[in-house]
Amino acid sequence: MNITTSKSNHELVYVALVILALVTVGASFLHLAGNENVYLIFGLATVQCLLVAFQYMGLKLEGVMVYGLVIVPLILFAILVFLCIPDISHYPLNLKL
Amino acid sequence: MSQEHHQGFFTKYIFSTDHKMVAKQFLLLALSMAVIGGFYAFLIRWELAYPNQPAPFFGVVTPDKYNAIITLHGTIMLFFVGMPLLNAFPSNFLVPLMIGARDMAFPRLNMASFWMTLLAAGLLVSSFFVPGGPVAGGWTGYAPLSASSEYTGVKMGMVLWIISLALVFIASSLGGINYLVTVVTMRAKGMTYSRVPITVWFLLAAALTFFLAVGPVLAGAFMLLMDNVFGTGFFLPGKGGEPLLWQHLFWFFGHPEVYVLFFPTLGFCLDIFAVFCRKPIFGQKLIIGSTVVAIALSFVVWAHHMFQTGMNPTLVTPFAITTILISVPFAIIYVCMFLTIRNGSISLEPPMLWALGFLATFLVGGLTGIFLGAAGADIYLHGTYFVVAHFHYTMFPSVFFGGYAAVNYWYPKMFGRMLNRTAATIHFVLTFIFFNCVFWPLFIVGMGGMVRRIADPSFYPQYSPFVHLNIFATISAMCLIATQTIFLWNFFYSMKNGKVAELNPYHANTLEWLAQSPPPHGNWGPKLPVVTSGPYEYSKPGETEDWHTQAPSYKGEVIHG
Amino acid sequence: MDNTSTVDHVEYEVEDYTGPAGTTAGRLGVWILISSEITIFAGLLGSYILFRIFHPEWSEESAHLNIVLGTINTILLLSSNFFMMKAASAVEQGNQKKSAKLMLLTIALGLAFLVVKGFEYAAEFSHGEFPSTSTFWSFYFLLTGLHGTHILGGLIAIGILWAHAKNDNLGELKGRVALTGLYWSFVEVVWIFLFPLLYLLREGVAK
Repeated sequence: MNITTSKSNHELVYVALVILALVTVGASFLHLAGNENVYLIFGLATVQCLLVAFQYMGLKLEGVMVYGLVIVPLILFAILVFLCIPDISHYPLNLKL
Repeated sequence: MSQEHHQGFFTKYIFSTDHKMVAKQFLLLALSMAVIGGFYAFLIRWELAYPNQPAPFFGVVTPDKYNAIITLHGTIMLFFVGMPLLNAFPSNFLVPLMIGARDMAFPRLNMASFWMTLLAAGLLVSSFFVPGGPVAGGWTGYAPLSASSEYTGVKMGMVLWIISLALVFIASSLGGINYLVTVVTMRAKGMTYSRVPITVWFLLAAALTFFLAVGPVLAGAFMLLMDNVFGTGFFLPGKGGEPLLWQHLFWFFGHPEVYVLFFPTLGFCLDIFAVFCRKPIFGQKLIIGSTVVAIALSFVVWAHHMFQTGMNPTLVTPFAITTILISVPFAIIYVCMFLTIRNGSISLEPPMLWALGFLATFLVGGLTGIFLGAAGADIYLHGTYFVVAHFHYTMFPSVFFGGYAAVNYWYPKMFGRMLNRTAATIHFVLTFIFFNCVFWPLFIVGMGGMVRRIADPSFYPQYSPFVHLNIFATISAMCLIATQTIFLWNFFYSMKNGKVAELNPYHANTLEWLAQSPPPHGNWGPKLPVVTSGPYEYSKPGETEDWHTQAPSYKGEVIHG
Repeated sequence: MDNTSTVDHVEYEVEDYTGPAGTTAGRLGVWILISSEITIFAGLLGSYILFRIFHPEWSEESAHLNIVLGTINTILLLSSNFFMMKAASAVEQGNQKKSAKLMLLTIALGLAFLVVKGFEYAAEFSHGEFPSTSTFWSFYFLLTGLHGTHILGGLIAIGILWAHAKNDNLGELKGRVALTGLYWSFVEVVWIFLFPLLYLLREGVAK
């Protein structure tokens, strides 16, 4: 099974990625209220990442094992950050109160 | 594909890509570093029993030297003895043989893995001789002590330690890639996943756990390196940093790491129990399921090492709960091990003795962990010798009882000779006795309040009741270390002078016993073995033999050369 | 120490090594490597995020980064990745010389990325912005530095493949072009997240 020869839509993906990248930069100049800006920027980044992963890296053709290899580290990343937030991110602020 | 290469000395022994030779290289590295680590253990115990008196072969162990010695003892024993002995050596030797492959998926990567580890060991040893001396921040390298040389006076030694660890972590990850890809893609015909021996499963579980856990500590290592070399402030409060972040990153790895060292021994013991009790493993699926649960849980228990650090108290209860929870899958595995032995026809050969010894001693380690995981009790016990005794009752059995079990069991296959059984038995009995004599008293002094990582107990009048226990532990430690010479003698002497081993001296089912002793380059004859049954068909009712090899059709043609 | 024997002129049976879903051993190996690398960058990016949450004032320091150069770098890396994908396709189609040209483009764009980064570093140093200046700058230099070393490593690998391909000499290395492309795409993905985290969270974009 050849991941690289399966219907070469590399050009389409490339154009989409460039547009998304420029839109992301533009979005950072919009001064949206509060955290919406962060969600928008990282939402766009996630879309770019999924495009690269599924199209360029061939993730859509891979089996459960490779999906697991990608998803489990992301879960671990989430665990690390969320469990450390009370200690590293918010604790100093709590102390000030 | 024809295999015609005549191997010169360098290709065969030094720059070998053959997985068996790489395995032996790792084993030799582990044994050599164990001598150094053991010498440091002697110095530590000497200073604790006879403070400020010159130690034989060393001189006075001053407090700053003591700090360096405890750091190096921990680092060496865990990463340069434990991991090579329990992960690199067995995975390299056993995985291709047990699944019926000719070598690893990536043999040159395998060789690179060893040389990287050797380089890392060399860097660490070289740090003994640099200005400022070797690393002295504890094997856990807590910041800010480790982040700036102004606190320990050690600069180059710390940098070398960080680089050495980064190298050994990367080398181990590369090894893990090899083992995983090999098992997934190179199993012999008929070797379905359910017929793979449990030793291989546990070695894989260890490799998987390792490379998933090592990322954050590598990240932390880069940050620590920058703090030391470029004056950044990742972990220095004076520069806006956060010391506890290092601890979170370190222990996020550190806790799964102890399971990386524990899983292989579980695998060896289960296979050894099956063979020496002539019984299938009890509850194989239950064991594998429990292992998966344990691995998942192992990633959410890390802060139990940090209960007393001043971290956000909100985190304490959740981590205490997960810590207590993780004892459940391990308890299940333990019960399965007991039920495997029950009603078996037990023969007390040395591998079985080591496996039984592991069961007994690790039980103490596991149970005492519960006290430490209960955050309330930990308030008193943290930082005392209770912790030291706990982790030696888990790590020593895992690394040494498990390592000796593996070496004793597979020695005939590795070298074609048997170890001297009398010497091996005496080695076990003495090690078991002296090990308990060293570390049991440490529970007592720990509960009495004696704290760890101090060089001179006589400085503190409240520790004077413990003088006799400390001296007893030290003398036992010296005897324990001396006993290991029996093993070293046996190991090297029997290579040339031991009784010639038959192909399958223990009548075991697994594939590696079908190969020659030692297996030639390429492992099998022209035809690979074809597997027709699982590995645990011992004492099957209705059969004449009490064992049933996994590939009965394999003839084992002798290869000329 | 042991008696490994040597063999003459015997044909050995070799398995056809394929993995799940037809993935080759090599491809699975690179995915496991990527999996491990995700955890490393997760540790680093996670630490950055943890600090960033309680340092809203970093948005001012972030404004000192050159967003134009950062955007140019993003496009350069995207393009480099694109050409690497085309190079891997060319190898599959059997056209090694074409793939060599495409790999050369890949390397050139990757080098351009590093050059631009170098300019940025030089400008930052001249403004007195060093790793030790503040924790924001420490993270910036560490993150981009580590990413840069990954790019350098990738460029070396692609260079070796180019050297073989331009002489139609890939031989057994043919499969490695696609595998290196896989690694190269991963380096791209890291930048996709690195760039907004460092450059785009400016002014009023704080938690």
